[in-house]
Parts: sequence; structure tokens; C-alpha cells
Amino acid sequence: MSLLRYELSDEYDDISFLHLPGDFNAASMEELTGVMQSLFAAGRPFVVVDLAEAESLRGAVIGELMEWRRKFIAEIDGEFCFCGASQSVEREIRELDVDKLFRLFPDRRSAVNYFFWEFKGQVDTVILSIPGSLDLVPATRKFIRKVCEAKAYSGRESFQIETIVDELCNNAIEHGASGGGKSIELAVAVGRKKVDINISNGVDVGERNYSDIVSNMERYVESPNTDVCESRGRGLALVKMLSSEFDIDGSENGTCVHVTKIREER
Amino acid sequence: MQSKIELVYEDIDGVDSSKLILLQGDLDATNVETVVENVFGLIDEGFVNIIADFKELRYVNSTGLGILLHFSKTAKERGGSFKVCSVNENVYEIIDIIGATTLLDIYNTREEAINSYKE
Repeated sequence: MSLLRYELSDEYDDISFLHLPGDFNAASMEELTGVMQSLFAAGRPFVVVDLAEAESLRGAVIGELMEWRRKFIAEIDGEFCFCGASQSVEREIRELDVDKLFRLFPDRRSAVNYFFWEFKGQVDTVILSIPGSLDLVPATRKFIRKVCEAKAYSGRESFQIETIVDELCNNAIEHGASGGGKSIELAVAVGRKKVDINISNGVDVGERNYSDIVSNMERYVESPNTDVCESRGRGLALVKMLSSEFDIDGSENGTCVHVTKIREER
Repeated sequence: MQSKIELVYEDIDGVDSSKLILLQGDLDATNVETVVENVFGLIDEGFVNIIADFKELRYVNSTGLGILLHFSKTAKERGGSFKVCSVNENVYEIIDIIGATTLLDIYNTREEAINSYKE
């Protein structure tokens, strides 16, 4: 008797979990087809095939799953992935090159995160308050690069985002929060399609000279320093050239720079 | 914590008043002064033909690029030159975006940079 079963997630409206137990083989195909029809009828587009109890995965089963995956993608914009496979089952999957089609995850949580990230546009935001010291900037920029890499941004784009964060932090500290116990506020929202960066130097400049400060910054953006003996004055221009959108404004939190970096590589 | 940067010096055979500097690590606002002191120290000692090997330089920001331009200008004023070689793709893109590829002498390899002195 097969122990094939499925669960409709209580927590997530559009995710189902399909368990393939033991040595699920061609003899059980009719049962598998019935379950897939039920999942399709339930209208939940994302299927996590949980292989934690699987001893083997036969070609016929994989073929059936591939066919249902195609149907889910074409008709309800869905996707399938595998999770929880033992080493031997994972080896079978890789030897058959099935991992080119079905993403493999170590556990159910990783698979669910994948669906939220790839299909539901989930954005993860890092918020940091950094004391006004340049010495803290390297660790900050490297941390943000690691976050972007963890979210599957390419090495090149992660490096560009690292550069943007570095230049913005240096600028905010030098022209606002340097010394005196002041800090800068950095918020980096990493989504699948773009990264939004907001940085404030935390200094209340007041209405009187706010426009002067912003116009001065804008001047550096549009006309970077061309004096080869001057090491500063190119950072904001570099940020603008690396960014998709760039904006400077002021608020009670100080001078703020907003940058959007739209993802180029997939 | 400052970024780590190491400068390793090597002699260049057959090129007068020369020195090769292998930069290892990240060059940014936290360690730029160290690099300035070391490179200007070399120039003041008469090593006006300098090759900066970027093979192991992972990162450089606008402040770091600014001092590289300063080195180049100073070396020329002293009758020599400041050349850069083996730049990784990410760093090269930053140098290019900032417009410094036209201001710095950049070579693909150390050998090409050395040979440029012998041509």
C-alpha cells in the first residue's frame, strides 16, 4: 500500500507539499496522477515535492512530475521544486540531470523561502544604525555585499552595490555624522528585481541651509572633481553612474540619499 | 576596523629607478593614508617608475582611485611614470566608470607593463 499523500499548507495559500514515500515506482503512477489532479484543482500553484521519506525516484515518476510541472507553469503560473532528499536520492536526481529542471532544497523551509522570493516578490530589508566613524564602513559594505550574494545577485552586481554603500556611507559620515556621537541610518531593501538603498546622515540641517547642502551635493554628482590631485569629490558621481535611480532630499532625519539598483543579470 | 591592505615591493630588472608594488586587499578611505605614505616614500627615494600590480586588489573606491591619479601625476612630474596592471574585472569597471582609464596607464599583465618600459 502506498503512503503517497499531500498537504495543503495552512500557512501559505498557494503552496502544497507532496510526499513521495519509500520506493515509489511506476506501479503507483495512477495514484500519483490522482493526487496531482487534486492539487491542480485546488489551484495552489507551487508544489514542494518532499523527498524526506523517498528511498528512490524512478524515471517514470520524474516524467509524470515533469509533465505536471509543465501544466502548472502554463496554466496557473506555478512551479515545482524538491526538498529533503537523502544523499542517494539526490545523486539519482543529479545523474538524471533532473536538477536542471527542479530546484533542490535541503528542507521544506528553504523551498518555501524560494517560492516567496522568486514568485511572490518578497523583499528583505536590512536596517543599520552606524556610528559616525569611517572605520565601520568596510564591514558594513561587505555585509551588504554578502546579503546580495545570498539573494543570488551576481558577483558583479553585488560588487557594484558594495561600492554604492561604501561611497554613500563615507559621504554621509564625512559631511554629516562624523564625530560627536552622531550616526548614519542605512536601509537596504533587497528584492528579486531591485535593491533600494536609503541613507541618512542623521543631522538636522534646518530649513535655512538645507537647500545649500543638497545643491552642493548635486553639483558633485553632475560635475565630479576632475583635479587629479584631489582624492575626494567623485563618490556621489560614481554612485549615480552605478545606480538606476538616484535622488537627494532632506528631512528631519537629515540629508537623505535614495538609490535604486535594478537587477540586470538573471 | 580598517580595511586590510598589504604592499609587497619587488625590484624590476632592467628598468632604472623602478619598483613594483603588489597591492593585496581592499583600498578605501580607511587605509588610503597608509598607501599614500608608502608610495610617496618610494617616489621621494627616487623610484619614479612604479608599477602597481592589482592582481590581488579586490576592491577600490573613489578615494583610492583619487590617490592613484595623484601618484600618476606626481611620478610624471618627477620624470617617471605610474603604471597599473592585472586589474580584476570589477575594479576595472569602477575605474572605467569614473573615467580614470584615460588618465592611468593600465596593462593587462605585469609582463606587458614591464615591457612597456623597455620599448
